[in-house]
Amino acid sequence: MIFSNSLDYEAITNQLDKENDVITIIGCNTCIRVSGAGGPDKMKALALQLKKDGYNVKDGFMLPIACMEPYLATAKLAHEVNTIVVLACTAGVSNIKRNYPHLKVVETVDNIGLIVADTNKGVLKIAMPYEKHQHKLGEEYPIGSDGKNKMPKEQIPIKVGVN
Amino acid sequence: MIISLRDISYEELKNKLSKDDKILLWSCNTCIKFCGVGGYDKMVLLEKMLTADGYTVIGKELVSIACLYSLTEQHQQDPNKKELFDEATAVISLTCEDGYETAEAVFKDKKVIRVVKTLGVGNFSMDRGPILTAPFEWTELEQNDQGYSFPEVAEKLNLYPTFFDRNEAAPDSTDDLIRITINQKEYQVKKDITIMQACEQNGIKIPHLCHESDLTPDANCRLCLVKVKGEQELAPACATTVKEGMEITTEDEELNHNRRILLELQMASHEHNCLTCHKGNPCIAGSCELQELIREFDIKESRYEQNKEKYPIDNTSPVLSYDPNKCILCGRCVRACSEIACQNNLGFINRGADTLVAAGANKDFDQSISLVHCATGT
Repeated sequence: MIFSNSLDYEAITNQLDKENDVITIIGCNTCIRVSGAGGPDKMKALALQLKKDGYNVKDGFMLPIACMEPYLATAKLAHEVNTIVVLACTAGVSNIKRNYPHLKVVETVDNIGLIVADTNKGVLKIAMPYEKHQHKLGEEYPIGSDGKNKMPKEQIPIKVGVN
Repeated sequence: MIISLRDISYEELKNKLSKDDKILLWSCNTCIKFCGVGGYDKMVLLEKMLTADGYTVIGKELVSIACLYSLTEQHQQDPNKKELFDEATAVISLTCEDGYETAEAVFKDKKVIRVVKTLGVGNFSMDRGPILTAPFEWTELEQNDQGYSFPEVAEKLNLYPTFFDRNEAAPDSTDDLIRITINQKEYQVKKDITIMQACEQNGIKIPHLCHESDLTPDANCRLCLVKVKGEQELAPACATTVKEGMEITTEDEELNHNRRILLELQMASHEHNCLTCHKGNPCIAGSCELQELIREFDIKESRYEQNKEKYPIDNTSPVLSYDPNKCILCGRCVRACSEIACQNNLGFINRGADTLVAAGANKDFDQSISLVHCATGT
């Protein structure tokens, strides 16, 4: 699975224009929900916050998997939409950028790398981080914690980063 | 999705095995399947190749998400599979490196063999298939929203863009072939396979809804009933093994008449608006196989009275919505949940016309993921 952490709210709004952007939010309901940086609840919270702060959020689509093109066809964007806020990992963002080259695409998360998880214990472990997050190799977090509350002791007995 | 490409040749794979090994093929059914290096079909192909070369493959195990440690443990500890896991001495892991590390940690006493190199994340595109968009830095490829195709990546990183080629192994042994006749034409097929498999291998299509190749047969939809010479009853093709000299008829007026009745009964059982619904369109997200058959059999309406009773739609799961009004009770989700997801938390409740699929103690659908196995895309 792919692990992503939310960007600060300001980092998202800095990419938006209150006057001109007509926004749709496209979310992914897979890895990013497990990470805690996305999923239906996060999407609702982000949409409400943006609306409250005066941004023109038109609608939103929660895709089962945002990194696969066929699913993207289920998001029927309104004609006036000119900005997509993507609540998905880098792969989802690329998919949307490639398919909507004429629209502004706003990222909301930072990709950390790949994880293994134990759903019985509710813990995930960073197994293959991208270079800038290499120091996080082997770190464990509660599932859905968005990279917060690092586990003090190893919960998943998998040796990562040795192959 | 996670992007992985094969990094060992078939010869290198064989060098990691010994003829005494009892081999278990272990594959994830998620990203790696879309990368073309895993999934049930690839396990079947690899089993054929290794068996033809004299290796002993004792089983194939498909796991819904191989990077889940708990799920891998559940498969290993499942009482129905315990014998298989105990007997295996080598596990070939058709998973990404995440899944491989998980398998290595769970199957500690076995030789676990990695087949792929994981390169980063990417997309499944309609025109180019899987593409790599966010590679790991060690690949020395830049992040690229347009994505790198597999042949391009394979060439740059000295990997293989596709799965093993069947021609790399010895041809199938002819010792275990038998002769059967299907629709008055003679075929040579492997013994111990089902009529459905024999037909699929020879390009003969038999309508079905409850059958799926990676699940155990259940023969409940009765659409695959065929005629076997000498048998009084019609035989379900998905659950009947071929025998030497068997003469099979898969299609005639009577069989098609039966199938049409079964499909019309399905249409009448609930609110199936097959004539106007878009679900039958082929799509990676899952299409309605019932509607496809309704179209194939040119059924415009059901002659039976439609059951108009409406059940509430269950939206309690964060990832799936279950509409009992569209469910045809084929049981594929139930079997997938048990056999692939190893959860055993889906089942049937009630009896007769009131039968429904339910999760756990019939509370809600909050745990099971059998999305891709639904025959009607409900």
